[in-house]
Amino acid sequence: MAHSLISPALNLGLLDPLEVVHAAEQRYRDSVAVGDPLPLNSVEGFVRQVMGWRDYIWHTYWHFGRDFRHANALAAHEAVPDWLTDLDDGAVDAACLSDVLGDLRRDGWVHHIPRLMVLGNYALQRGIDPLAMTDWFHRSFVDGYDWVMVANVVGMSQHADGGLLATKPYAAGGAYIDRMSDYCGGCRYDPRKRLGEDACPYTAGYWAFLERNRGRLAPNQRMRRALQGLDRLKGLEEVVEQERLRGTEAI
Amino acid sequence: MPQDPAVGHGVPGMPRPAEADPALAAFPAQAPATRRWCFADQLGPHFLDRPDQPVLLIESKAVFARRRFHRQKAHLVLSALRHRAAELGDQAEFAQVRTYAEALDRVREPLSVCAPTTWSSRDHVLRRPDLTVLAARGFVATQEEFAGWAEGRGRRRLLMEDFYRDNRRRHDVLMDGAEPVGGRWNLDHDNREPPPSDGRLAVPEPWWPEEDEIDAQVRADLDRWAADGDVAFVGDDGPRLFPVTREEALYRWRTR
Ligand SMILES: Cc1cc2nc3c(=O)[nH]c(=O)nc-3n(C[C@H](O)[C@H](O)[C@H](O)COP(=O)(O)OP(=O)(O)OC[C@H]3O[C@@H](n4cnc5c(N)ncnc54)[C@H](O)[C@@H]3O)c2cc1C
Ligand code: SF4
Repeated sequence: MAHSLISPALNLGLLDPLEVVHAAEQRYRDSVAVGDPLPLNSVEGFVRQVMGWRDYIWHTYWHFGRDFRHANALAAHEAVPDWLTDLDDGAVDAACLSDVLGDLRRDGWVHHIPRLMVLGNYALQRGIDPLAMTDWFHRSFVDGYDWVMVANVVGMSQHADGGLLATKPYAAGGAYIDRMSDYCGGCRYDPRKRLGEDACPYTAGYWAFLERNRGRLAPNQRMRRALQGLDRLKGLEEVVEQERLRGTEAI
Repeated sequence: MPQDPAVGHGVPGMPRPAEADPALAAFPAQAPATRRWCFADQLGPHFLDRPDQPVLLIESKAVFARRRFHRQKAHLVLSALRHRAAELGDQAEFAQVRTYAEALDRVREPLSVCAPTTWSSRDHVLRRPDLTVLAARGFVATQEEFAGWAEGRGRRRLLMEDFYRDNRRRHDVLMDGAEPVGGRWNLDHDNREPPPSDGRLAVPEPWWPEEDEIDAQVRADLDRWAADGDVAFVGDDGPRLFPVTREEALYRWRTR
């Protein structure tokens, strides 16, 4: 039941989450009764998304009050670049980002992982203002509503809430994207490189992000290993300078 | 030092729990003797107190003019609203206006609304005289249930996992008595699979909606608004991919 594509219908109020969850359970119980059980982990996973995550995101939107949307714990103030606002995948070389942006332009929708790993990760690494990103997600997605965006973007994706919702920022380099997808094979960048013409902007961007936020992330236990890696990194200064020059230009 | 689980509390600039905000008041549950104003994200039958309750639907052009939305998002929302109006027929008053106020000022009978989904829209409905605001619908836990749960956590982090288990117990979902079906709460710690390798969303889907004359009218209207310069969009126009009626939504959901 992964990727039910049900979020637009739920968010328009066409379906009620409880009815959807009860129906999923009924289907599971029926499958058990006829001796051909559906995999319990995918049924549970779906129930978790709908009565766990969706509901939690909704309630935290209100619980953390009117200022939640303005949280900016990592002091990220870059503007959303025009190519991103315009969903201009043609301006982008990076295979992962270009593909996801193209899907978004075409469908107004992409799966959860690309939202987090490709789009959110980019904004996090580049220090784009979380409120501006919330607005961007809200406008660009068919299932985007203010209530669902603030907690997902400010909280889950941009770590701008200082760790209220997620224990550490969802920042990842090209090696992670390479492991989770098959984008990198067809890309002009190399996920293993952090310096030079073909340095992967996600890999180099990851290190530049850590360096920029070193002080803010240091108290977080779960960032210890990442920061130790940073301490050992050769050529960090050059990487930081290279990424400072790249900024939010199309990658 | 381990992260303080309540790290945001008391840190300047960090969000803190909302207290005594009028937008979070304990609203009544029902008002069956009123006309029900349904926002465009309150389109299912569960937003009414009885099947034949009179309804008010408002299509406000100003909402689309405020920001550059994805073209298909504007299409989806308008199409869903207009389909609901068509489905309800005489039961609904359907106002196509510039602002909400234009439509609300014309109402001469008791009117109610389920608490809308954003801070700004809640402020808006609370400012209207003679509009009864009811508790939100369309989610699993009530505001009071969540508040009670959060309170009970004291200074511990508001863990999704813990809230989720509470919801499962409260609604007896995938439970065998007091135990979760299968004996464990969490069967797959990282249930999120990577996207389909070609990145296309069409892969697992057996059914896509068919557009009708309402969609054709929506398309023509959006084209005209854009041509007149009233509204600007991002993204491509394209065949509608998502359900706009309850019937379509149920069909998509059952055949998925
Ligand atoms: C940066 C970012 C922005 C997001 N923006 C939105 C958004 O605008 N609207 C939206 O509905 N979801 C949003 N999500 C959550 C999630 O990506 C989508 O709900 C999911 O991709 C929808 O696809 P699906 O219906 O196939 O999901 P499934 O994996 O099949 O999940 C079933 C349902 O669970 C609910 N759900 C699961 N996770 C979440 C979550 N984190 N927040 C809210 N609901 C959830 C959705 O209603 C979804 O339809 C966002 C996530 C991130 C990281
Ligand atoms: S090499 Fe880097 S930019 Fe290219 S697809 Fe892989 S992660 Fe994306």
